[in-house]
Amino acid sequence: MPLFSRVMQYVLVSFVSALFLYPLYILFLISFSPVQFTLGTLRPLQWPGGFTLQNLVQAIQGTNLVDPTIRSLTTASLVGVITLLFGIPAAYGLSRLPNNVSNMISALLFLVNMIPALVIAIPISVSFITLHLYNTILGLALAQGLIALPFTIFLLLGAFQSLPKDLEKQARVDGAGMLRTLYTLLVPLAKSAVAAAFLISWMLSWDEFTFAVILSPINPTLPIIIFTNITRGNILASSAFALVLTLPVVILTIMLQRYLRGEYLSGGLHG
Amino acid sequence: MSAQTPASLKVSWVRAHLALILIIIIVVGAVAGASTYYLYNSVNRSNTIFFYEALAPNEADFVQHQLIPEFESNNPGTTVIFVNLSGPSDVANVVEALVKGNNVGSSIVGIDNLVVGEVIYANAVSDLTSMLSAIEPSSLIPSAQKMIAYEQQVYNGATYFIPFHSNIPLVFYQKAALAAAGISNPPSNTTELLNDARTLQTFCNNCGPIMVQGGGSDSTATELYQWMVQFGGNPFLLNDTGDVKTFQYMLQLAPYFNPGYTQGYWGTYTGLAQAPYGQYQILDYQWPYVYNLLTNATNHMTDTNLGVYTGPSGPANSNHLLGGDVLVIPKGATNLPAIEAFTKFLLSSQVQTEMLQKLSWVAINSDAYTNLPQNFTAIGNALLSSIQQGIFLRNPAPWITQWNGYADDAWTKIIVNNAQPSQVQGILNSENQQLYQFLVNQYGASTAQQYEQNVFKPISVG
Amino acid sequence: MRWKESYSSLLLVAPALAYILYFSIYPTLTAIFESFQTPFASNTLSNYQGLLFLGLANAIVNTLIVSFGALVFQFFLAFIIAGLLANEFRGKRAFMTITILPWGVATIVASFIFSNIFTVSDGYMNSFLQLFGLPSVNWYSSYGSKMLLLILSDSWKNTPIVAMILLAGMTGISPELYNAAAIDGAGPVRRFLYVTLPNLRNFIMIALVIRGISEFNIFALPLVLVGYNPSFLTTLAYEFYSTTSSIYYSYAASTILLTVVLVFAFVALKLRRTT
Repeated sequence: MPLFSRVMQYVLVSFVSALFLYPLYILFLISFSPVQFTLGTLRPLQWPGGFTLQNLVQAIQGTNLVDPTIRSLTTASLVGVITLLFGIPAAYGLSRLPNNVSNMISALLFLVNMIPALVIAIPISVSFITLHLYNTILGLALAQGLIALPFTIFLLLGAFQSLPKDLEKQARVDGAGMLRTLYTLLVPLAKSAVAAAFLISWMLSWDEFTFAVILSPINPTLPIIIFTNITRGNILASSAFALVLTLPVVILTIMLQRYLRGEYLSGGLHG
Repeated sequence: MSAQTPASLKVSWVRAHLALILIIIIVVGAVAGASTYYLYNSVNRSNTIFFYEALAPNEADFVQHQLIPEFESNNPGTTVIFVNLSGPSDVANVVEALVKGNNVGSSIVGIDNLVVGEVIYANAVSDLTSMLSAIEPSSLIPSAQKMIAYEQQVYNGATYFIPFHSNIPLVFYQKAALAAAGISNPPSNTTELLNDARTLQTFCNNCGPIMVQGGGSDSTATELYQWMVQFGGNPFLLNDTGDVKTFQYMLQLAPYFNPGYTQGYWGTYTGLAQAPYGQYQILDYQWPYVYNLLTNATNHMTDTNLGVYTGPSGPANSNHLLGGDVLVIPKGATNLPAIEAFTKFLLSSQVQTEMLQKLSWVAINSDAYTNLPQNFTAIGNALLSSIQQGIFLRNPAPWITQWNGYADDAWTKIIVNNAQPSQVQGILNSENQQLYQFLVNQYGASTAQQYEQNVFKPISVG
Repeated sequence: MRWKESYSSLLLVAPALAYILYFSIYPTLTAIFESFQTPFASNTLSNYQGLLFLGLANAIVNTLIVSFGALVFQFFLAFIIAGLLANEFRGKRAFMTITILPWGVATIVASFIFSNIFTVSDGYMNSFLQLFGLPSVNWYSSYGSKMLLLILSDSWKNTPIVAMILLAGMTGISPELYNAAAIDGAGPVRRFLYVTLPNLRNFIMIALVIRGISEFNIFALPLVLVGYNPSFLTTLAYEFYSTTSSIYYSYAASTILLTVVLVFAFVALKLRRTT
């Protein structure tokens, strides 16, 4: 590659990397730099003015961090379980259906996934009150599952489709029923995809805002606590919560990048 | 899929197992966390009260770390769980949701008197008449007495709410800046305010010396309400003479607004403290709780540079809006004795004194005003003189928040979008029309007619 | 045998479908139906009329402007990223990780960070500008600057997805096509226009549809950064949800949002079919 192109390439890479890392860097600055260098001045320093844990300590003492974290944790895990419960059989079924039927169902799933979360959240909040699901972990998980399930299905569908067909045929010939084939043979073979699907659903729920703000006002999840702290002007508390929210996500994103491929993200639109 | 070499096989094996281990950890963690959490809660559930309110961070801190421990140590065996909601509408929504879902439990709610009409209209709160003798303090300030008398009249003898703490908007200003600009006293009426704004604008080099809560939502509408009363109008109508005069005056004042006024709300105050003369010099109006924040260690303003007073009087009067929270008990609440005990505690003279001094909340128990400490004089004087000049309650119609929307819309169209003075009447007429239509559709034609016939007026309470 | 297999396969799919359809379709139909009701009238347009006065038209326009502005910006940036990632170079894996990081960050966290970057007078963007001797900007002073900051903030979080989809498409283009074009004397720009773009058509359409629909749903970001002014379809619906007496306005705004999404999807998929 000619020198100019190579230099341009590295310049662009550095520029884009800086652009993408800068906001996360700011999050760490606000959380760990003494407040007189960050929020207490008209010209915040672009580099750390110092290092202090005082901001975090103050934030944690002032507001209850434990309750929203547990709430988020439980809801996210429940969403992961729900999506696997519904998603594994669905993806398997789709992989075995004739192409035109499975494409139709994929299109339907995609279509329904298009409905904005807010359009669903407002009527659901009214009916959840009478169903005793309002402000409950189960209610929120059922709502958030709507966002996570289609992506899970497409991810697992791709995984099942990439498994050799002969394995399955062999198992059927050996007399195994469909469900048995699924759970004893296919799932273990696709276990990394299953794990990825669980973790991505978990992450989608962990980050989710729209359903949480409408369905869970009394016992909020972490994103909602961050939001209420921002609107109250409690910036340091917001940054402490934002840090707690973001650290697992950064780790998970790095671990899961293989699965965040264009093929899965584009859903069933290839047909 | 290309043929896998042993190395990559090993890597993906590790990755796959890592993911599985992670799942196990997460699920176990969530289950453990949830079960310990709920176990902990159910053990304490025997004599637990839920207290809902929407408070600023320092107010919430005070309730959580001072008031509640005080109550719990005086009443062993009773636990109070404080739920800090995000705003008045949120509180109203939660009350209605709890009642509709039959999920009230042992609850008491501090709700902004802005939205108390909504929850009464929705039939979501209980009549407190039978409890009154147990919880009502022996001496209420006159405005609180008048509030209770008013609701008993309007609701045919029923008492749906009892005042908890009131809130009166005050004007805060940079004493040093005004003095340096040659202004010896803060503006005593709206004409002086305009003149002082001009002087300060030159002094601070076009910084925009006046900060208002111009960000929209409840904040702007509440301030506008008081302005319109002081100009002699009925704010609800939006287009009577006094209302029109208010907006035309605002148009004159707008060139001197601080550029950040479009983001201003009840949490905007720190700009006043910025050395040397503040980002803006007059904070017109803001709730008294900011006094304790402006004088704390972070902002360290003192009586030499922080001034607070009742504000400029309007052309018609200098009445102040009585905001603040009232206590309601959602219908179907259980364990009423514990709730009564907590309510009595909240309204007791000792607690009301603490609230007055630490948060600048206008106590409704008159005993709180005896023996005020020296350093409380500035804010205390401002509050007391505001009360003396005259205070009013917003009419607790259930559709106030919708009115807020139309008031904000008028603010945006007239002030933010810089309309011509000649357009003001037309814009306000259309807001009035729209609110009328809304009432016809959502509350019925008779309510709408009453609205247009000026039935819903501010209520004088002192 | 075939029918029985298909039947039992359908049975496997049924629970997921039932769950999704019940929790999506039923509330949506409720929202649409209720948007035409009020406590004192049935089958009326009064909610929409009231909403029109309170800025429905502006909300639609604002939503469209931010959505399309963000799409343009995201695609521009995504093409650069995908183009870079299509080659091999040292540090490519690190770069790939960096470019996908924003996808995982919660929208509320991104909103929080950008509310401290773009502020009225202080903030990190202004101090950055001041490093170069430029004056600080009040990012909330005008409609245009508010829209710009929303587009920039939104694009940070959402470019990774577009980049990943485009990359998936680019890796599928055979290098021989590029070689043939290079032999014919085409420079990098013409190779991009005549080799890359046509072969990426499908992926571009998919990314456009997916991202476009998500863009119309932009909610937490404007709620935190600009509040209700300027309003968007989502914040408008939420604004009236907060006031319990006007939930019907909320339903009306939601229905309009749904309509915009469906129209966009319909147009985009029609375009895809005709090419």
